[in-house]
Amino acid sequence: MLETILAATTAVLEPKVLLGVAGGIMAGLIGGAIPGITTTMTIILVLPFTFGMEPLQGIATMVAVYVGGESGGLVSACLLGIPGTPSAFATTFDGFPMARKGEPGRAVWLGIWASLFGGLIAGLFLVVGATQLAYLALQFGPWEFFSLFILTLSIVSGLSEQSLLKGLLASVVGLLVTTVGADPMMGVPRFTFGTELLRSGFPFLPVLVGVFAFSQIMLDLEQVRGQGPLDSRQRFNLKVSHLAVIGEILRQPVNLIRSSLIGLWIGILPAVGGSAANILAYDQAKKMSRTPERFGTGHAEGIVATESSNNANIGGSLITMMAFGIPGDAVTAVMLGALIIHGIQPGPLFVTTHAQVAYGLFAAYFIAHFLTVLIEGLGLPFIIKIVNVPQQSLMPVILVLCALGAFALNNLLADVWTLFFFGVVGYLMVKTGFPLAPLILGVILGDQIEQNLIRAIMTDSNLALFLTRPISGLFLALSVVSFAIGIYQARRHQRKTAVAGAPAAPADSDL
Amino acid sequence: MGRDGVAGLLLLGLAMLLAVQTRQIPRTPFLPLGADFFPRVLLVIVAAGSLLLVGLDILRHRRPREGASRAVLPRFRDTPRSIPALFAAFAGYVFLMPVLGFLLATAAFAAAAQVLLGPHRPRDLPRIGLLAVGTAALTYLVFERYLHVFLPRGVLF
Repeated sequence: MLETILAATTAVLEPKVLLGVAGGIMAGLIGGAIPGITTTMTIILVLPFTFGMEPLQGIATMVAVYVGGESGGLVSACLLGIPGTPSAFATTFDGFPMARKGEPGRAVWLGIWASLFGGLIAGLFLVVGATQLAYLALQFGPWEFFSLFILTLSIVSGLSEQSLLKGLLASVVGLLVTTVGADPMMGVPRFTFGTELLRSGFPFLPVLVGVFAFSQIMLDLEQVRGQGPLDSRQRFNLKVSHLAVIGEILRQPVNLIRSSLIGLWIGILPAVGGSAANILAYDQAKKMSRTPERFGTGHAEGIVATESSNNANIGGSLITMMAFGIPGDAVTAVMLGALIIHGIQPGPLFVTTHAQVAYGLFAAYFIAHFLTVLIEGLGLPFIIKIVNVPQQSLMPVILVLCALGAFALNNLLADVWTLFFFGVVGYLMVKTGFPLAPLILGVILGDQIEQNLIRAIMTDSNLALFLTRPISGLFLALSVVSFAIGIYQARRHQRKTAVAGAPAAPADSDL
Repeated sequence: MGRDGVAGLLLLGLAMLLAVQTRQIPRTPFLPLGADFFPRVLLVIVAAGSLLLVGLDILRHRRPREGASRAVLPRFRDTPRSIPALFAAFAGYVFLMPVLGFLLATAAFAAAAQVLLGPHRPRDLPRIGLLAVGTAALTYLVFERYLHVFLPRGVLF
């Protein structure tokens, strides 16, 4: 394994790959810093630029966008009090007060260095965990894969606090979307309504871009319309003693490691995402701290907890993606699409059959974390200026890039129409309280669920095998538990909001 | 009936329409489970879930629980008019792209979208125009010349 890692590292350090990594980091930092432009949207916009790249270069670039995006969110969180990404939400609690107390540099650099350390801790688990879990997954039969995917859908559906039923319906509708076109077993046309256009079904990427990016842009624009640019014209003195900041972080090893492990674990869970990691790590840091009363006033422990966890979340998400072919969050969902475009089938065989790309991904992950510190440090003044661009000017450009991204996939305008259609669907879903994450996960997993179900039944028509095979039975039992927890949480949430008398805000996972 | 009920009815209608379509899915002699098996399972779940959603919505409206609070979703009528207009503008953009060509269609859409998202003063018009033309030109250069993605040509260019 060591030789493979060294060879992959050498490949990533080649100038053309390194240039892609640096460009990806910069794109991620800018996208992450601008409120409303999430890391997901940034990676969707960068994706078309990777079509012409070799697989390793393309994947390395996307990993770099991911790392840059998770770090970029802290810039506006600390300096403007507005999180650039959902995963920087809790960073505002202490980052912004610290900046306002006259220590903006300390706030930002605590975040940047904590992101590095959190990412490195998770990186160790990524290298070992992804490979070991992939070997484990190679032992799975179609029963186990089917049950694992059902467990994934049940977890995501259960995350919708308002309505488990709506989450379930959204996931099943997502599965239905994949039944349009040729069936995955024999190529029989389904739901084509006699048109050639629907014969090949809905391509995954335009659906993803439409549901997430396009509909999210429209929802953001409802808030933004009529607002002026963010006030980032003030100058910030960001000079710090880096040794002092690093020392401050390393003097709280328990907080750092605990928060990183929380981020890692949340990342492994499908579709939960960095925002949950961020908040949970902050919550635990406050509860375990000797000085909980200082949280919210510009306390370093708060920033270290949030930023180490959201970067560790990247490692966790990548573990699930590489070992099982299941996205850990929206960004890894796009990366799955990128792998397929580059001719790589995600799943347990990814690590063994495409070792150079898989280990290259590990190497890119580590290199991107170090490069992010350098690029973010040099580029901070530029990033702060970019945040000031009015959304009314920025969003039309992003819509054009979304359309281009969909078109560039197959050079078909039909894919842009698919993007538009699912953009409307996604927008209406949010307006009616349906979560988007289960829908998109259903679209990602639909073909695999059907293939594994059919294969299992064709191998042995005894349906009881889904329950009697130990791992499959365990996954299905956990699915039931997940649904039960979802129902319990929904009822508890309703009771809480009834007692508080306040209207409940719709919740969605980070997908 | 509230929004949930309407959504449930729409989903139920979709499930029934697709269920009828499953009759047209050809059966293959090689597989005991046809290509219609999986969609039918899903459609049964959607239909059952939709009925439950409609039923719960009706019950909620008939007997609201005292003190109970539901998610307050933004009302459709509160949606700024610019948003549906922007959706329409995007649809027009995609429709006109093969007619006008990528460059003209993109410049027109980028300008229209900025105007829709206003507010703007007359002195903003040069900036709007510059951004619209710049977006079209830069994306054309990057995608067609650098990435070799051949973009739609129109009647002019």
